[in-house]
Amino acid sequence: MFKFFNTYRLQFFIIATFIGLFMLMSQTHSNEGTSRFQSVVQTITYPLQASVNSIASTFKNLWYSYISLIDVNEENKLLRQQLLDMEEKMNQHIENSVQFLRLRNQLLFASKKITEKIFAEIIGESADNNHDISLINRGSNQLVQRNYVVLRKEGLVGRIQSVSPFQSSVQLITDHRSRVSALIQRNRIRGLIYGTHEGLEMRQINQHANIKIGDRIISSGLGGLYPKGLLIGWVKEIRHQKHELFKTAILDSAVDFKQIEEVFVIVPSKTDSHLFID
Amino acid sequence: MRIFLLALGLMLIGLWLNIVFNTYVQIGGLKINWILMFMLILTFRHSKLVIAFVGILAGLMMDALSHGIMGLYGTSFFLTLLLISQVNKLFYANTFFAISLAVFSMSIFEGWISLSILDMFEPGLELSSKMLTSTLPLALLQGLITPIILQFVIWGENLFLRDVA
Repeated sequence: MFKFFNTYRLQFFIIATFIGLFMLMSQTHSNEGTSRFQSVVQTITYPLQASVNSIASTFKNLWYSYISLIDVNEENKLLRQQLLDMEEKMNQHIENSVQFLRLRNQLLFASKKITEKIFAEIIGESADNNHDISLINRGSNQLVQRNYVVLRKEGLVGRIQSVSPFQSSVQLITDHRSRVSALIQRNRIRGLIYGTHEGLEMRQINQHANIKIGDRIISSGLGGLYPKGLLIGWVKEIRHQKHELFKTAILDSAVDFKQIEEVFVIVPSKTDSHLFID
Repeated sequence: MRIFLLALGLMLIGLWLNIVFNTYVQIGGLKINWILMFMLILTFRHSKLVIAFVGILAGLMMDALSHGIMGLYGTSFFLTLLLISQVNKLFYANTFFAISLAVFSMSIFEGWISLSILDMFEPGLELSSKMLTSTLPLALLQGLITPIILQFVIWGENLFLRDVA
């Protein structure tokens, strides 16, 4: 037995390595948490990413400051004209906003929702081509936890995938693993948002549903992960074959995922309400 | 020992390029897998099993910095490097063209392995589509820039392994 083992020692070692790797894979996949190794790697790489990001941002700001000086005179004239138009529109909006504030206060009072936002900067991306992951400079030291929702003023960005002390990885909603329960704001018809790497698709929409190009899509709050009412995007294209049970809508995402630099991580409130008002 | 240190050093440089360089420079929207390229070239030139084991560490680092399923790239890197260390003498010649071709084909192989494993854990992944739109162009790109990386690896070898040679 020992002789056999000694003869094929290397082969045994290689097979044991494969078994170990597969066990590690299935454990980290089913565990749904951040592994220690991942946390260590992210902690080690954080200073590198943060410092390079800071240097790059400084250079980018300098460059854009220079670029913005060009054509500033022309832009000034245009803006003056726009200002006159805006003043007229503003009078109308003041009236609307008074009404809006009154109603919003009523709603806030009803829901009693206190949401805390953690500001974070994007400092890196996924190391591979197959996943849409962004790395942010906030981690467990800033009370970020797995599955916290990440958004911007424009709309939903994604969720926290893993957390290390100084940084976290965000699974964007365009990632092919991402699923968001959503509804069409106009007529409350439900569907499921799939990330396709190139963009977003709303699938499993009832074949008789009335969808129009330009319909706003918001999160439905079903599933418990994403709160209700977050803007996801607008319908750009509708696909449906006669033999298919469901319609599919191709979306224009509210957030430009290639341009985002800052995000907010939402710390969930302890109330049961899913109403999100921003 | 020296080859292990060289592989480790190149892996760390590859990691730096992956996390910093790839964030700002992407050719055709593709992120070059620098770690894999260094490991492939080094294995083609030395056929040492120890590089395959360094490849596991490299793969685990890639896992940690992407999807978080630890061991996925670790397995695909290990399997690819193991295969190269066993069969490279069959078709490999130490020329720029040969090594470019070898890196191209092995990048496709590694991509196929990693996507196949990913498909096991994440059903619904469009494997053939991913192969055509992501793995194949990336492998081509990696094949094209291989001569530059090869020069760098040779420089590293001269620095670390000169006395041994």
